[in-house]
Amino acid sequence: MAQNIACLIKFVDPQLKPDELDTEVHYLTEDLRDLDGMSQIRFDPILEIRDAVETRVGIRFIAHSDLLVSILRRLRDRLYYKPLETWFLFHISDLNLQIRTDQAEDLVDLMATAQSGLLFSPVRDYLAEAETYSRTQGELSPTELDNLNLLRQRLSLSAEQAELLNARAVGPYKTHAEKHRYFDETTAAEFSRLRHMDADHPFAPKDPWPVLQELAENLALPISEAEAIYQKHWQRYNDEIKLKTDQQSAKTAVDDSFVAETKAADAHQNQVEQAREHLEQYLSLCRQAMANSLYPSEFDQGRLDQARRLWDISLDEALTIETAVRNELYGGVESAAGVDYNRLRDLLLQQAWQEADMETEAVILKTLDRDMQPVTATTVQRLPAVDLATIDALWSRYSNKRFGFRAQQQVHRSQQQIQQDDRQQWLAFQQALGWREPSSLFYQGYQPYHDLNFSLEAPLGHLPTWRWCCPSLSDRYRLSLDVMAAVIHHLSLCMPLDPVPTPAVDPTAPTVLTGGQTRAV
Amino acid sequence: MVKELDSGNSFRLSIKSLEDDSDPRVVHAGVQALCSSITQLSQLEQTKFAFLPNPQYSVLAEAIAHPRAVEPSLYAGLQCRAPLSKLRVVLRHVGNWLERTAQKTLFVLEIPPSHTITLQTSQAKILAQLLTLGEALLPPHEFYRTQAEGYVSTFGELTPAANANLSLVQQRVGLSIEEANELNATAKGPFKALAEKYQHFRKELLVCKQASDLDENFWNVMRAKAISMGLPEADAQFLKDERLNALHQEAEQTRQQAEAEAAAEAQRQHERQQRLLGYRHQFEEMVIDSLPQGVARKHIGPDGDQPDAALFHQNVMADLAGSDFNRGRLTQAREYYNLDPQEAKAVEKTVLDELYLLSDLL
Repeated sequence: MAQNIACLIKFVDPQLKPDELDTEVHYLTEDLRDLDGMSQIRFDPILEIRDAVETRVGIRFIAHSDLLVSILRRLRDRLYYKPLETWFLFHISDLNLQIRTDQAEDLVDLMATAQSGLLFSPVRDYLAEAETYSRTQGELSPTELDNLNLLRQRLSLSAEQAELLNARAVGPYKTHAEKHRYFDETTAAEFSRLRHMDADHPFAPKDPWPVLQELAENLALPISEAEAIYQKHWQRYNDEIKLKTDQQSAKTAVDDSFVAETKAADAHQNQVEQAREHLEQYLSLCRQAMANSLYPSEFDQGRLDQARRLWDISLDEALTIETAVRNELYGGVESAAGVDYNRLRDLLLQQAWQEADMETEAVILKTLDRDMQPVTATTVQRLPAVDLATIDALWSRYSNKRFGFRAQQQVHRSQQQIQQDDRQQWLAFQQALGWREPSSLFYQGYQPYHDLNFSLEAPLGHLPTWRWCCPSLSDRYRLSLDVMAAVIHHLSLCMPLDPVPTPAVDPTAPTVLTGGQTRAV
Repeated sequence: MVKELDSGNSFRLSIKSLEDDSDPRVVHAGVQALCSSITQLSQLEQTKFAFLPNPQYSVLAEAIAHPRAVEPSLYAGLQCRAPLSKLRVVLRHVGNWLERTAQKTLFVLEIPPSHTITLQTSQAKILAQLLTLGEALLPPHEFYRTQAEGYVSTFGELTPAANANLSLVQQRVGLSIEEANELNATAKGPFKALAEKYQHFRKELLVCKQASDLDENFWNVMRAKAISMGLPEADAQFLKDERLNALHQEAEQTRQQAEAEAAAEAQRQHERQQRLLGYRHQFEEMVIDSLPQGVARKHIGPDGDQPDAALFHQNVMADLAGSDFNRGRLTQAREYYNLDPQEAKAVEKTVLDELYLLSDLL
């Protein structure tokens, strides 16, 4: 449906002189008149006073809308060859379109629009109506399509033209559901991007809603609906952030609590460590002080006393440590009977063997609490194993295992293996220990106490003597076989010796006869 | 970075009531309502408006009629400039406004490059033609590029929503996908993603080793860099604040470290004082323990009449040294407090001096 367009073209380039203006207007008119269908057009000059002279500055004319494209093309070409600043005005029905330019390209879009028909009434009116409808519900409803169809007929548009314009109005997403889904997906993607950004380094926070709002506008999706979709995603995202923050806070609280607990535990541990360290230092000082003597020198006692005060060690603890060190360095003096073996240890340390033997007799009798009564085979069994072990260990330590009960047990065992007869066994045992000599008709062989060998040259197991078993501690003492047997038996119970390894019998070895005994050599 | 609005990336809309018979106050209220509602649209909060006074309204006459309620002027219209990306939103908003007011109004839409469309109407559906025509007249490449650059300047990259919008624009203005991709790449610049821009900008900011390095001059250079790499101003500012925070934290750490060192030194001094004090107490105890009978005449001097401090010291120390036990205690205490001989001597002298002064009273 063609319509008339009022056109106005005016040169506004300030550089043009009146005569140049007149020339340009002349050529413009000629150029336009030269176009097909324009020869009959009436071109009215626009007159203005320039330099006190009435000058033509432009033209006015009315042309058919069908001619607008060719008019614009001609005007574009003119600007291309001569870019003079020009004012173009096109009055199309109730709309004025003005362009003021000296650039040919600025007319290109207008040409394209004119070609598409959008400039002119039927297409323009129809499209505006279709877009208005599509905005209300996000799609063209059947009723709206009916209305548009009536409009199409009134505007004499073809069905194909109307369909194209409808498609343009609703855009690529035809139905409301498609638009809804597309918006929902885009919003989800937008929040996914935010999540991804949150997971990495921090970013400046930005509100995605304005662009989504713009998308809703572009899609013609109702804003209230778009906002509901946005709110749904935003709420989910926000909940996630809150959860993460809460978890982080909880973790921090747990960590803080753990740190505080660890700190307290460390402080306690440090105290314990420090106390332990002080005890160890005291122990080390004791060892140092008692390395060369059973009792620390007065100087060392001063040091130990000062150290005890400085390290806050109680007297009891200090005594315990000192005793432990003394026992470690010089042998223990434990007693089940409450007997003090310190003097025995002192004497043995000094290698005062005879005095040590006499002290042994004294402590054993004290242990047995015999109170001047003779020791019997029964009372021997009351000697505590702890005390026997202490006495043995002290003798053994200071004689380099030469003396002590264990040495005596070993001698007894070796005699047991040699002698079959009990009496001979005990005789040989005492002889091996150096307590007797072989007897003769006039001499029973008992060594008097003062003739015993109180030195390290004495036979194995020579000391301590068993004089304490005798009814009196006389110089000429005699051991009863019963008591001796009871002592050995009690020792074997309290301090059993390691079993004797059975020698492997070599069947090829020759056999020899010794005192009626057959032994493997 | 939000670009300044210029004629290349924005449009100007002038709206003026043509209702001569209407009450100027009603027209004025309508204009103000429109202005207020446009500023409520997102990203248009800062829109500046110029108002067109109503020529029908006489301030003088109004002042005579209502002397206490003189208004400077009443508006018949307004003019505003907004980004091209908001053309659709604004025109549709104005369309809604027109539907409510239904007043005959003149609309003048100026769009790049140099088009001006003028329309007079009182109907929203006729006004809709302004949008159709306006969008049709916009140069498609320029329009698309402006939109893409707008998104990049706001978000630093093309977000999913921005891409969705651009996809619709691409179809509406009739660009091919290849053309659109090319324009997207141009808009994005050398760094495709915001994360890359952050990484690069953060690296650049690392040259500032202290807060004072990040002064106005340096920041102007960095802002220019941000613009050239398409990093939005909000992000650049965020990264600046982040760097400043880090620098402040580093400075705070350095300060704390210096404080800790000073505290450690003070602690060392305190411990030394404690050691001296501890030794002093121990020495006092030792002297007292070694003198169970108190200060005797022999300590003061042979004649007793003219006490001699040096002699007093010598005698007390001789008493102490006379006992192996005391010597042991002294040795252990000196070892424990880890004092050098001069320090120990000084402490001992102080104690003995005090004791000497007190000896007169004893």
